[in-house]
Amino acid sequence: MSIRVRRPETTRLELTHGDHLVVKTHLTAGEYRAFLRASTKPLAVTAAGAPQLELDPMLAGVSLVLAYLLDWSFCDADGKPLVIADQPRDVVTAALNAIESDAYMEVQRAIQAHQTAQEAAVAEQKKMTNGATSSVETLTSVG
Amino acid sequence: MAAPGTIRGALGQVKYAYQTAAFVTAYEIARDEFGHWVLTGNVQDPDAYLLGQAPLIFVQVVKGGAWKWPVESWHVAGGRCYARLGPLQPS
Repeated sequence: MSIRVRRPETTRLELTHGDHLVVKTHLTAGEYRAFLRASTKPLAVTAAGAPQLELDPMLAGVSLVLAYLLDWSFCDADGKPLVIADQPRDVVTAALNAIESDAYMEVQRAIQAHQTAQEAAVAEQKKMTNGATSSVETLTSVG
Repeated sequence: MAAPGTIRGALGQVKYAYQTAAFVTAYEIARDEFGHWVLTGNVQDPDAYLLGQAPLIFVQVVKGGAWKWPVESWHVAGGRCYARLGPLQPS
């Protein structure tokens, strides 16, 4: 039997100007489904066609950010912390809409890079696990 | 009339780390006869898995941040929750 549930962990991503983000290290299955749901728009189903979904590139970016982002070091125009930790999704969305577009793109790129790195790490871990299993099987068969 | 020190709120969340285990609406936090802080309210969207994890935290979002209490015990009956809370955590 294997462990298929992770404890919730966070990762700090460093940005320019000394800023940082705090993001989820991994998404759960439910969080991943919610991200996919928020990234797509349903298309009309024709009589013969199967139900389809279309990925909306505008929604996909912000949905990815909302799926991962937990906190940041950004301040508002008065220098007060722009609080997003533990805030409802609409508050976080409003904060993402309020920041400069350059800052938003830096956030999105950082989270995309984090997601890519995590997927690569998981793939590598699976490869190692499968490799270890194969070795054991080989040894067993030799013995 | 609420006892002195009673806190009432429209919406709070029970969290396991950053994950929301349940929403609690129309809640009240008050001291019981033993001096413990007790949360009562209506439970919305409970996540059975997350509610079985520990530690759970009750979070009330306030302007500029959040108030957080550790949940020491948690019980749901008929859509109402009864939770014993630890002391308010410094923000």
